Amino acid sequence: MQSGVVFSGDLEYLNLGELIQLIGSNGSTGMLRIISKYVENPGLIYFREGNPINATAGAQNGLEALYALFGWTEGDFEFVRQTVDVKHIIKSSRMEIILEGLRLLDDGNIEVKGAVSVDIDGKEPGKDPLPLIRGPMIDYMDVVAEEEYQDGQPIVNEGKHGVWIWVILEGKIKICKETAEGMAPLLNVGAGSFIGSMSSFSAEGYVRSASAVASDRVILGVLDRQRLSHEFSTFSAEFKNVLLSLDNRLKQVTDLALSSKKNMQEAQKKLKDKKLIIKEGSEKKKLFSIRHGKAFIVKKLPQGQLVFCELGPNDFVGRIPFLNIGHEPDSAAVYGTEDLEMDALDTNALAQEHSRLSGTMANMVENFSNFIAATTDIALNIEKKQ
Amino acid sequence: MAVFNINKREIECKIVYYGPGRGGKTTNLEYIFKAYKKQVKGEMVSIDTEGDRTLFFDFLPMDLGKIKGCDVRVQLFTVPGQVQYSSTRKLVLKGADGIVFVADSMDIRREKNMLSLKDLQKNLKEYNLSIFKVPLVLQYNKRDLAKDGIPIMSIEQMDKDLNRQLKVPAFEGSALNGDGVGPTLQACMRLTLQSLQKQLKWAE
Repeated sequence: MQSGVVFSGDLEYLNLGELIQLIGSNGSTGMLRIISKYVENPGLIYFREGNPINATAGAQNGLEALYALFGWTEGDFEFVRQTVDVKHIIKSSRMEIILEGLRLLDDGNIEVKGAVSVDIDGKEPGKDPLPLIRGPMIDYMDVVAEEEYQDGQPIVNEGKHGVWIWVILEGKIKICKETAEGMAPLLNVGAGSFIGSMSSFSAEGYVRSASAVASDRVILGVLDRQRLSHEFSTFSAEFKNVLLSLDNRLKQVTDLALSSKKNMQEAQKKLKDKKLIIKEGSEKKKLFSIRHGKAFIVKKLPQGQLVFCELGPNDFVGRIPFLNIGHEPDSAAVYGTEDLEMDALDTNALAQEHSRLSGTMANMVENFSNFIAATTDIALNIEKKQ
Repeated sequence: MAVFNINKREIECKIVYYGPGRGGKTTNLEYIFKAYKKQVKGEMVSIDTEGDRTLFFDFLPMDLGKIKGCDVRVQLFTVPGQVQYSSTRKLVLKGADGIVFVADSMDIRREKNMLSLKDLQKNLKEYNLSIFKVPLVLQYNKRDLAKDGIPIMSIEQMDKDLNRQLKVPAFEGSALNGDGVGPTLQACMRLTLQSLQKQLKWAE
């Protein structure tokens, strides 16, 4: 803890509204620091005798900055007890600030600084806004060159071979896929997100599974593929398989999100004679690797079942202790073929391996998990609407 | 969960008005704010949320005595009904010490009342509160509409719909004229303070 910090913690446990209440009823004087890995500098809120009197967040200050900070929903906070000599700009009452801040957040009027948010700025008229996926702050260690693209310029073309991996330094990119009706936009990605795939570390002649197009002026950082491939090669076979299997899931949920097929009817056919392996909502902590046979990740909806993906040998099934992709066991079930055989994986060893990843590699893994979760959500929302 | 402020020798607790949209939650609070001006501390915060307003102010109950020598300050809130206001609802309901459920007596709102009560139960559960344990009072609002010829439900009917399992105090009300508003709040505050005192005994 830094000197003067009298209490600190996780914003997901105690959010800004609750913090302001707590500091208020305590009548404390000092500075609240809000730290988000999606923003370069921490946000600051100054309190005098329990009342917020000024704040800064990026270039904003005063009440505007304070409201903006309600969007920093992931991260840490620290309260430093100190005398404050900043200007007394904010005059609104505590509870007014809290209730108005939360309303602005719920009405979608504040930009959420988190992994996945709704892209309000990039919304096209008459269409629902796409999800926007950001990455954590960039580790420049592995950036070997910068490239610039103009609005509308393609970066990656679906179906072409390529192994480069980029990280977005500035601007936004649209991820699209070829469908019968032309190019369909799937989601937007912003600063800190990666363009590329885990498979490019292992497979020769990897084929791009989606297209990426700049949707404003974009600056990309080309990553040191040699360094990252070398890091990848040091992983255990189990850990490599988990990462490659994530790629496999992302491809399948992407196809699902854009398919115009009758997915529920197909699911009924696919799941005929399959047995339930893990129930949705199960608290089981185990993780398995498929040795033989096939497994299906299945979501139950009021109208029927939906198969997120179909998995085979070397794919994983179960709970990954260090990632959340919005699949089994919390949000989906697992079914298997009669001949399904699986081996339990050592989750402690995998978690340890994960904790030793380089900054860039760890960010990539987290970013791809967010892609899977967001794309799965899109697929679910489409089915729910039908 | 009430907050004890040792420095100010004050206990701060929270009473939340819940109920179907346009059923009279805000009317209740507006009436209290006007009619009991002397007991209100500070200004009323009013936030325009879609469909309903969200209100808040501090209230100093009289004649309820002190707890352990501390004054009691009650935060009064209404909660926005729309699903999208999940952050506001969470902040307001989390740690609620007492709840007033304002039901709409109009015939056509029967279903809405029952759904809203179910919704309250579900929301409380998320914050580890049980609707059967939390201090709760019902108010059957808009009784005055009968004289305008608008069909309203009988008290027996509303008791059967809403209070059959809960068996909590229920008051008739007509918040627009202030009828029943004071007794409803009084009853809820009394239950809330009794419950706080019980919790304190356990803590000793």
